[in-house]
Parts: sequence; structure tokens; C-alpha cells
Amino acid sequence: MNAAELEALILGLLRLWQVQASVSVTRDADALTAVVQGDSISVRVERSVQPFGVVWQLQAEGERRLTYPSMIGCIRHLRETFAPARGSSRVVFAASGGGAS
Amino acid sequence: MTAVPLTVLTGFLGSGKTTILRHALADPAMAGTAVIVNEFGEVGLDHELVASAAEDLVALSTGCLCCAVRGDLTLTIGDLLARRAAGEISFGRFVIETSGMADPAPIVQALALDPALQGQVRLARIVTTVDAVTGYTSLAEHLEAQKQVAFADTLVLTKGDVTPFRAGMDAARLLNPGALVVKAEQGRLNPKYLLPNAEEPDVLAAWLSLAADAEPSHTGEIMTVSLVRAEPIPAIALTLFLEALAEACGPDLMRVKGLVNVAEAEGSPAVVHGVQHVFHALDWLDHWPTEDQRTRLVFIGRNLTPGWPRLLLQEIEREVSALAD
Repeated sequence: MNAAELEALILGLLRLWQVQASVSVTRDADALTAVVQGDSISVRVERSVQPFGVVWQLQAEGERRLTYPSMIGCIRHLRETFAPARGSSRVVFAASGGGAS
Repeated sequence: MTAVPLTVLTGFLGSGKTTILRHALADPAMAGTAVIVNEFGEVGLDHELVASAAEDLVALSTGCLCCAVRGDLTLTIGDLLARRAAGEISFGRFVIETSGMADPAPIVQALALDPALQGQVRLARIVTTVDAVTGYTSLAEHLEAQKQVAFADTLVLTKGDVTPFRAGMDAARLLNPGALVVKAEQGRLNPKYLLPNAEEPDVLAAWLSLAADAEPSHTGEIMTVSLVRAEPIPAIALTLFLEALAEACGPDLMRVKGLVNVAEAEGSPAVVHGVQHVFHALDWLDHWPTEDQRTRLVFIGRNLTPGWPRLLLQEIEREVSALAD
């Protein structure tokens, strides 16, 4: 992943949630760091590649830094921070074809 | 037990659903269909067709059953299935006519998630009527109308024979460019469009051609974006990708449809159908329908950004790949 891709991923999330915030991304060795700055809160998002896989670490101002092993955790953290009223869903694969064809 | 296929017939107030249903009920092609409506009186059953009537069920001479919703829709379906199992009635498919202001999403979710119906009913298609005269205004002013169109597999233009206006259907096509579009003539629709699988190859082809266009379209907040890629996708990455989409989009993800080149099953593409977060168990085709063997997925949802699903899939694949290494 490069800086532009991380920025586009986060901006895509903010647009989904209709959140006004700026995103700035920097690269340091194997890690990318994005700062998502909203009206009243900012979150630092660091993505790094460790020997055991990709790691996402997120930290809001004044909060503990939390680590996630997947982008899914990063999405959940950002949604709960910037758009707590937005709903999320869990995928359900319907038995015997419960979805539409 | 084979799941009974179910068609949802929806459309905004006054868009001609009931007229289409009334004509369809008289057609022998509908034999073996249990039709669930809100009120018998709204449909105006032709008395010459009525073979027998009970308090909550009317049997037609065409071999069609007509049942009014009593409270909860899933209870009505469950009751009909129980009576079928007991040998009291016979049918092989359902058609449900929704009310004009209905959001199809809760209906779809109830069908898929109600434990009592698990494995007994499968959603075959969503058919949405669009009024040529008032459709444009309905779509401009009512989110319910937009969602009815966005969820559709098939769009039916009604009243097109009484007006040259196309704005209603043009607006609907912007919302859901992958849906098959058919026209009702004087309130009559070929019943095959209400029955399962009649035009499935056409429906899938329409969605795939949409993905190939790669041009996003939108009406207001509702966007249609696509993802096309040549490299096969590992099954676990596909699953996590769908999870990530659901986590990010929630109920604003309305439809996902297309073909996926799954790494573990090259040569046998998987058909992906999703209505919000509820996905059909993957259908595996024996072969690709055309020479194009790329993954092609179309997403309809609110406030989607073109290219964003592709970036998300790329990242999920990197994570899966890093774990595998």
C-alpha cells in the first residue's frame, strides 16, 4: 500500500459516513501514518508490515493506542470514533439461497 | 427439502403493481403460485376465477392461491408452508406484493434470517414497477421509491403506453443500471418476469456489462460503482472483503452482484448476490459465460466512491497474503 492508497481508503470511509475531516499521510520506512483530523477529534492511524502480518494501530487524542490485525478493525475503530451513530452490519450467507438472484 | 422460490413485487404508490398482479393471476402460467397481498380487495379478484375461498385464502381456477398478509409476513409464509406440508394446499413458488411505501430491505432480511424459514424459502428476484408518468417525481422525493428501485433485479415500466415520458425510467436506470428493464403493456406483464429464473442469464449479463463499463452512475446519494480485476481472488480474501464492506457501509450497501474468479476454483466462477449484508450462498457456474474471465462486481449504495471497493479488496488481499507468507 502506498500513501495515496491509504488516503483514498480513509477518504472513501469518511464519504460513506458523511463525515467532514481531513487526511494527511506520511511514510516512514515500512510504516504509513495517517492523521485524520475531524472538527473536534483527531485519530492517528499507523499501518505497518510486521513479520507476522499487517498491523493497524489507531490512537485518538488522549486515548490508548489500540492494535488491530486487519483493516476491518481499523474501519470499526474509525466509524465508532467519527460516526458512532452509523450502523454497521455483519455479513450473513443465507442458507439455501436466501439472497436475491 | 427444496426451498420455495419467492418473488417480491414492489413499487411506489400507484405505480401499477396491483394491476399487473391482477392480470397475472388470470394467467395459467402462474399455476402453482401462492400470491401474498396486503388486502384481497385491493387486487380485485375476478370472481369467475375464484374456485374456492376460505377466510384467509382464495384458490383460483388458474391454480393460483391468493393469501392476505395477517400481521407478520414471515408468519403468513410459515403458515402457508405448514399447510402445504400437511397436504391442505399445493404451491411451488411465492409472489409477495408489498405496500407502495415499503422498504424491501426488511422483507429480504426477514426471509433470509428468520429461523423458522431458514432453508424453506429463497428469494428468487425483486421486481419493481416504475410509473412512466409519476416515477420521476416519486424517485426525486421519496427515499422509499429510490430503495425499491436500487434493490430491483427487474424494473417494469408501467403506463408507458399512455405517455411518451421516459424521465421516470431514465431516473430509475441511473439508480440501478444493472437491472433488466421490461415494459408492461396496458397493465399486463408477461408472467415469466414474476417467476423464478426465467431471465436469469439476461439479468446476470446486464450486471456484468455494467461492471465492464466501469463508469459510475448516481442519483443523489445512491451510487453504482464497479470492480473489475483479472487476478483470481483467494476465497478467504473474498469473505473478508465482504465483511469489510458490511462493516464500513452498514445498511447503506444495497446491492452487490457479479461474478468472481476465485483462486481455489479457477474455471468455475462464483456468482455473488447480496442484498445489504445478506448474501446468497455462492452459486458456482460450470464455466464462464463468455471469454471474459475477470472478476466483475457491481455495488449499489449510498455515498460510495468509485475505485474505493478495489482499494479495499487490494488491502484485504495484502493482509491475507502477509499471513500466508
